[in-house]
Amino acid sequence: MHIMKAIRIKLWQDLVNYKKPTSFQLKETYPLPPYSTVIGMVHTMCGFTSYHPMEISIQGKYFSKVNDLYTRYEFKNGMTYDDKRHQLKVGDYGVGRGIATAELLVDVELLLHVIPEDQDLVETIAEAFQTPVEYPSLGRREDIATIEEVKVVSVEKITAEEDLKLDQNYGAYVPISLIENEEVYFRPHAQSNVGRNDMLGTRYLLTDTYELINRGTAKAPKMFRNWLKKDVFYTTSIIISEEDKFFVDEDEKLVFLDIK
Amino acid sequence: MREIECRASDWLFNAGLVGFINIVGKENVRMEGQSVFFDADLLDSFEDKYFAYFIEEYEKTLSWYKIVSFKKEMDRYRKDDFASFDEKALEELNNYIANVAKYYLKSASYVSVYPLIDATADPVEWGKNLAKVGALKKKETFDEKRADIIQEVKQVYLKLDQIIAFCNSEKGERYLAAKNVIYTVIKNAWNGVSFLNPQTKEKDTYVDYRTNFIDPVKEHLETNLEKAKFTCFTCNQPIKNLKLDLSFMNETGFDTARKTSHVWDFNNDIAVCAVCKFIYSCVPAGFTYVHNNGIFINDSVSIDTLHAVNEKIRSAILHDPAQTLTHTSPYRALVEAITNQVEDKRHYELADIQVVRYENETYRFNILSKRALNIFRESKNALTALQRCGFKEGNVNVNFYQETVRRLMNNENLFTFIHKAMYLKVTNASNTYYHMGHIGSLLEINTNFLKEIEAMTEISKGRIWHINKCGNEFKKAYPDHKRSGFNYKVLNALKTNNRDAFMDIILNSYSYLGKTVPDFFLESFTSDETFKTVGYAFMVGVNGAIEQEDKDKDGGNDNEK
Repeated sequence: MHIMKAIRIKLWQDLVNYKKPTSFQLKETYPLPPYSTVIGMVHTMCGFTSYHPMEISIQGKYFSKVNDLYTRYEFKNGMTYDDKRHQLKVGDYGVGRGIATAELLVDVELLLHVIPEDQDLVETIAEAFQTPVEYPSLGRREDIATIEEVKVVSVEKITAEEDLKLDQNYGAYVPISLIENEEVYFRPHAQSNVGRNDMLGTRYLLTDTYELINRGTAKAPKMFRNWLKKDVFYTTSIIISEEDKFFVDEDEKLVFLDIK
Repeated sequence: MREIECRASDWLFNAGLVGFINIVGKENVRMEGQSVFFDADLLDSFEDKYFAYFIEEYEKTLSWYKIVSFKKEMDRYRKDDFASFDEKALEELNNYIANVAKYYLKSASYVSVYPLIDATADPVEWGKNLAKVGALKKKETFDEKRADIIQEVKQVYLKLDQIIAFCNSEKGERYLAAKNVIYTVIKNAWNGVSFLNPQTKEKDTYVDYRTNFIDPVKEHLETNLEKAKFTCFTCNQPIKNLKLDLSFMNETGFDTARKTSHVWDFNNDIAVCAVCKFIYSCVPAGFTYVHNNGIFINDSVSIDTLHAVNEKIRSAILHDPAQTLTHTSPYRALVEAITNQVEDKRHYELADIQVVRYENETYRFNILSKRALNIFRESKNALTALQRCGFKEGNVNVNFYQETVRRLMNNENLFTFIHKAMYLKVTNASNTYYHMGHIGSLLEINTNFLKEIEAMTEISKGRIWHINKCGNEFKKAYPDHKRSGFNYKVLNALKTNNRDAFMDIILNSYSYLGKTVPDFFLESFTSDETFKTVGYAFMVGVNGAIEQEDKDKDGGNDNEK
C-alpha cells in the first residue's frame, strides 16, 4: 500500500451554518461541512480556478446549536419593481426583503484531511493555509475559520496495533462503502449502554463535486451544476478494531477515505 | 402493473415515505434496506386511503368528532327516560348547542361541503334554529321546572338527531372530517396547492387531491423520458421539465419563477418528479402532530427502523389512554421513547440520530447526542415533575418540560431559564404555575448537564440539598420585609456573574443576623458554573422550597451511582 501525503487542518469556528441544499427558508445546517464546502474552501484559499481532484476526510465536533434570525433578500435578475408586491425599490428593480431563521452551530472544531490527487500540490495547499491571502471562511462567507494547525502528514492504510476510535465527542462522515465493506464497526457506548450495535447515526447524501452542463442553447446558455454525491453516515460511535486495515495518519488520527 | 421504487433521502422526504407506508399499510409495500417498493396499482383510489388515515388517527381531536360523539350522551338519557338528567346535564347540553353544534355548523369549511353530502339539506338553517333550553328565571330551581325542561330537551334532541345523523352519515364523515384534518393536520406540512389553495375551483377535496398529486404520477409513469433533459432534485430520475417544485412544502421551497436568487447562477434546478411530489404530499402522515406541534425521527438506517421508531412515537402520543394530549406530548413521547428501551439492556438506540420538530410553524433539528441521552436518563424523575409547570410571558406560553428538553437537546445550560423562572416567582408575577421546588428540579437537571459536559464535578445532589436547607434556615432568621431587596441584589449578582457583589451581600446579611457563614459559599470561587449552582441553590432555599418534611425525598444521595 502506497503512502499518501495529506494536509491536515485543524480549525475552529464560533457560529456557523453549513447549509443543506434543499433548505431555502429555514437554513438547516449539516453537523459537519459537506465535501463540496471543504473542496471549495481549499480551492479559494489556493486561488485555483479549475478543479483539482482531491480526497477529503471530515471529522469534528460542535458544542451546541442555536436558531438565529437573518435578513433574507429574494429577487430575480432584472426583475422590475412592482408596488403591489412586498418589495424594496432598488432603482427600477424590486427586491423582496424579510426575515427567516438560520440554524447555527456553536463552537465548532474540525479536523480535515486534504489529499490532492496530484501530490505535488501538497506544499502549495499547506502554504495557502499557513499564510492565507485573505480571511479563511467555511460555510457562509461570514463564517470565519480560525486555523489552529496545519500539518503535512502521511496517510497510510495500516493494521492498527490497538483499537482506534475518534477523539472524544467527535463525529465524522463515514462513506457508506467503508461500512458495507465492514472496514469500520459501530461501537456502542461501553459504560452507559447507549446506542445499538450497528449502523448508528444519520445518513446523508452529501454534495461532493460537480460538472457544469449547459441545458440551454449555445447562444443563450443556461448553466446547471450536475452534482456528484457521496452517501455517508454521520456518527460518533465507531471503532477500528485491531487487526483491521484502515487509513490512519502519522499521529494515529483516523482518515475516512472512499478509495480502495 | 408496474413497481415503483422510492429511496430514503433527507428527513423531509423520509417523513413522506413513512407517511406513505402509514397510509397504504405496511403489508402493501416491500421494504428493502433503504428503499420502499410498491405497486402502481396502489395509487388507485389512494385519495380515499389518504384521508381515511388522517381521520382515523386524529379522530378524537376533530371538531367533527365533537359533534357526533354527543350522540352517546343523548342515548344514555333516552335509555333511562331522562331519570338521571340533572342540572349539570342541562349545562352540558347548552354548552354543546352553543359552542359545538351552532358554532361549527356555520363555519366556512363545513358550509362549503354541505352540497356534496346532501344537496337538499340545509344544516346552516338547522344551526340557526337551535337555541339553548331551560333558562331558569330568578328564584326558580331546576327541580321545580324539571318536567318542562325535559319536554324542551326532548324537542331539542330531535333537532340534534337530525344534525348528528347528517354529520355522521357516510358522506358526512367523508367530507366534514376530511375538512377537519386538512386544517388541523395536513396544513402543518404543506399549503397553498390542491385543496389548500384558497382559489381552488374543485369543491370535492378528494378529487382535488387526486388531480393534483396522483394523476400526474400516472402520467409521469407513462411518459417516455429517454430524451428528458432534467433530473429530479430528490431522486435524480430524469424529468422532462422543471414544472413541479417544492414551494408548497412549508418552510422549504420558494417561488421559483420570481425569486431565483435562492439558486446558483439564478438558474432554477429545484424541480421534482411527480412521484417525489406525491411522496412529499404524504409528509403530514409521517409526522405526528399535537396542537400544531409535530415530531419526526429520521432514523434512516433502513426503512424498517425509520417506520418502526416513528410508529412507536405515534402510538405513544396519539393512542396512550393514560395521557391527555397537550403541547408537551411530542416531547414526553420522545423522552419516553429514548429512555425506555430496555431490551438488550441498551437504553437509547437513537444516539446520533436526527430528530425533527415542528413548532411555531418552523422546523427545528437536533441530532440526539449521547450526552443529551445520558442527561435525560439521569434526570428522568426531575423531568417528570416539570410536566405541568410553566409561565405565560405576554402571549407566549412557556412550558418547563418543553423548554428543558429543548435546551438539553441543544446542549444549552439552564441558568438563564432558572434565573427567569426564579425572578418571576420572587416578584410575584402573575401567570406562573410552579413553585420553588420546581426550580430546584431545574437546578438538579442542570447539575446533571454540567456534570455531563464536564464543566463541574465537585457538587453532588446531596450537597445541593444541603445548600437548599441552609437557604431555608437563612429565610427563617431573616426579616421578611428585607427579603425582596435581598432577592433583587443577589439575583442580579448571579446573573452578571459578579462574585464580589454576591459575597458582599451574603457576608453582610449573615453578619447582620449574627450567624456563621456556611462554608459552601467558598466553593463559588472555583468556577462560574459552581458559583451559579451554589447561588441559585441557596436562593431556592431562601424563597422556600424545601421544608423539613421533604427531607427524605432527595436527601443523602451523595454516594448514589
